[in-house]
Amino acid sequence: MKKLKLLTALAVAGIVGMTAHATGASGFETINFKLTAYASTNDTAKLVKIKITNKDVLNQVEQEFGNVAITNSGAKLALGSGGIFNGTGDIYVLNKTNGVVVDASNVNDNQYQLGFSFDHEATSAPNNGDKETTMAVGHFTFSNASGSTAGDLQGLAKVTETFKNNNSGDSESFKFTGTGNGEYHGTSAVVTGTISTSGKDILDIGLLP
Amino acid sequence: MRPKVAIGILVCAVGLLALIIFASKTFRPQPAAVAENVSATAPVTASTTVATVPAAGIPAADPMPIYIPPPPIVTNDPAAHAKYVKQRTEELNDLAMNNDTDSRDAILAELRTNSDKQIRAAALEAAIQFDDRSVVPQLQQIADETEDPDEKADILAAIDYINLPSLTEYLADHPAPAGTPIVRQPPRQRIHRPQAAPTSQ
Repeated sequence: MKKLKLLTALAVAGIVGMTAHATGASGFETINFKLTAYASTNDTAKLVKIKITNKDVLNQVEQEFGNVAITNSGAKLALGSGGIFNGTGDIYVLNKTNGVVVDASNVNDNQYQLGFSFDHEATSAPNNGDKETTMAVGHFTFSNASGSTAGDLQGLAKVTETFKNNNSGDSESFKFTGTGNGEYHGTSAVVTGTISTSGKDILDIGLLP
Repeated sequence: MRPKVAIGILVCAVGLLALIIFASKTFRPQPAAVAENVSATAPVTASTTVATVPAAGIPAADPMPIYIPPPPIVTNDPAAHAKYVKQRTEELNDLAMNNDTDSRDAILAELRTNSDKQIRAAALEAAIQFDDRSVVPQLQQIADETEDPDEKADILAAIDYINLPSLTEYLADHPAPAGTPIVRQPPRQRIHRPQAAPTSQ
């Protein structure tokens, strides 16, 4: 009986520990880039296949803002508060403790661009219910300061929003599957892949009373 | 000793032995290829106790880490399970953005030992985002041990992807030529839904 009690206690402690440990950045949606670029080449008969992940995007952002904290271990990309539709749409870099390092969508006085936009939205149950699915035509645009490295993707964006009381606890997940053009130091490329986000405590002031 | 007492003791001993065997099987970490069930292990972080031993098939300089995860917690509550998956996925995403070997090994250990298919999928994505080819030998070994054909294919595809040159590497190897034409796209307008009265955050 004592063993049974001990096992029960361990199980309860594990469950408590499991639920108490939360690392998600409140109000932000963490972003994962998983893209593949097929670049032209004059050297071989094959196209050059290139991967583009979060750390590549962070590297580009660091070159724009000149802040080494952007590529420090633990720095991550996140979508700002408000969700994919009703927020500013800005992409931020957060540090290991979820503090904002930089608003990476902030346009300086040059060619730099980074961000999402949408059109042709179709929504399951606007302004009603506790869960909503939206399909939209999404666009992701990036250009570095000189325009020598750039990409413009278009594709299907699926957004799932789950609403709680008084905005607190709202969550959203977003998956964009797109294809488009890239430009890498004078070489043209075709880029394809997915960009996904997920987060909680997303304030969705457009959908709640 | 009377025969009835002896038989009783024997039955108790056999029962106890069966209980011990059942418990040891139940609380043993599951290999990556086991059938899906509703059990979920408690979170394993980069600080989890680690012992390293050499493993066959990978370089001696990169020994296979063996994490000792806490006992699995069985739950039949879909909501609790979904919450655990979401939380552990976020933790794995955070680990992926680190550059240290502890984080790398924690991700790979989760891929190797977690009995939950969704968590293993999240660990594979984290291995990709970790963006370090040192994960490849262990991924190959995990693929070799994985029986589920879909999961095996996903791991092999991930290996192929990880082995590609990254954009950062490509740009370093191909410096921008002088006079590179600027190809900026015009900014697009974002769509917004009708907004209710603004509330403070």
